[in-house]
Amino acid sequence: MTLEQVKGFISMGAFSPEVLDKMNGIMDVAIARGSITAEEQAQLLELVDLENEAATIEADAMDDAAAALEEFAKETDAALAQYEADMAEMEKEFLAELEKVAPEAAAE
Amino acid sequence: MENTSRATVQKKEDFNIPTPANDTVFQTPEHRRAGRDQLEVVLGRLHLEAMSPEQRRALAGHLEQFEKKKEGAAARVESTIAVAADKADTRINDADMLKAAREQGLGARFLRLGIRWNARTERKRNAATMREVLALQKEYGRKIAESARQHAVFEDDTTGAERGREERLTNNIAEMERKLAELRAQLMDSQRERAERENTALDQSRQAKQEATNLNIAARAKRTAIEQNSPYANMLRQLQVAA
Repeated sequence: MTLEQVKGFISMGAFSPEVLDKMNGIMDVAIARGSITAEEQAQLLELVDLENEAATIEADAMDDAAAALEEFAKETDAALAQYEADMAEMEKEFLAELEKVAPEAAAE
Repeated sequence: MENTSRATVQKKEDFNIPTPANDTVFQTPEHRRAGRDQLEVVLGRLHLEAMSPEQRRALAGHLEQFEKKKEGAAARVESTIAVAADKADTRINDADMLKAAREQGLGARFLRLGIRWNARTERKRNAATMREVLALQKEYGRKIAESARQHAVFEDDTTGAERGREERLTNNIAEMERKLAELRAQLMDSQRERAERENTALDQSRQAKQEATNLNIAARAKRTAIEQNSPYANMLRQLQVAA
């Protein structure tokens, strides 16, 4: 595989623009020279590694926040459902008490 | 009114809100509405002037108990939402702090390779929306409780007298009339109010779920990108380097 082909493949990767620019810069120098040095290769590999590390950290943080929001929504929904049920029960009890206090009103 | 109610029921089903376990006649929205209608009718038929002092005292007691229970239920839902929102906020903060700690050093390593790197901002954009949703829901819980407190029975002691509480409750027919009328009005409005309340709450809950879904999708995209990039690392390793 030629260095030009490698550069072409890299451009198809899911790299951030700044990392891709840097990788392209390294590859351009290598292509102009006709060979790639061990140092350039190490830099490219480290860029891929750093990019992956940053993306993993970001993804982990997003998953954590998503889990927090999902739990919040679940707890809120349950609390509101319970509130509605409590209200209905209280109204039922109050009605029963009213019917005892003033049965004529309930019977009319 | 019917349409609103049906829409609310549909939303509840959509979000799998648990149905109260106790099998009361108020269990379904239709039964609850029937119960409220019945209560409203009975309240309308009460003739305080014709009631004995004992009956009025009993009525005042039940009314007061009812209002206190309502306040208690509202305070519970307010507290639960506030605790859940604070807990979610803390978890989001913790995630941010952990992220910042894990990112320490990344900037320096990127800089060494000639890239000025800043912490990624995708989730920072979402963080504002997340906190807004949490704050809105918390505010909503506070309003439920505030509304319940405002309707506290006989809190406004307009007589200014030092008569005993029971005597005041029993004799202040005008005050009782006012409270009963207020309660009837609340029951009459309750269908609309509850539909609005549930829709508001569910909208906010839906927003939180939507945000969570967006974050999960974004996180998956990140992990997919990492997987996609792994062949490049292998390809780069296999390059023949100059001697």
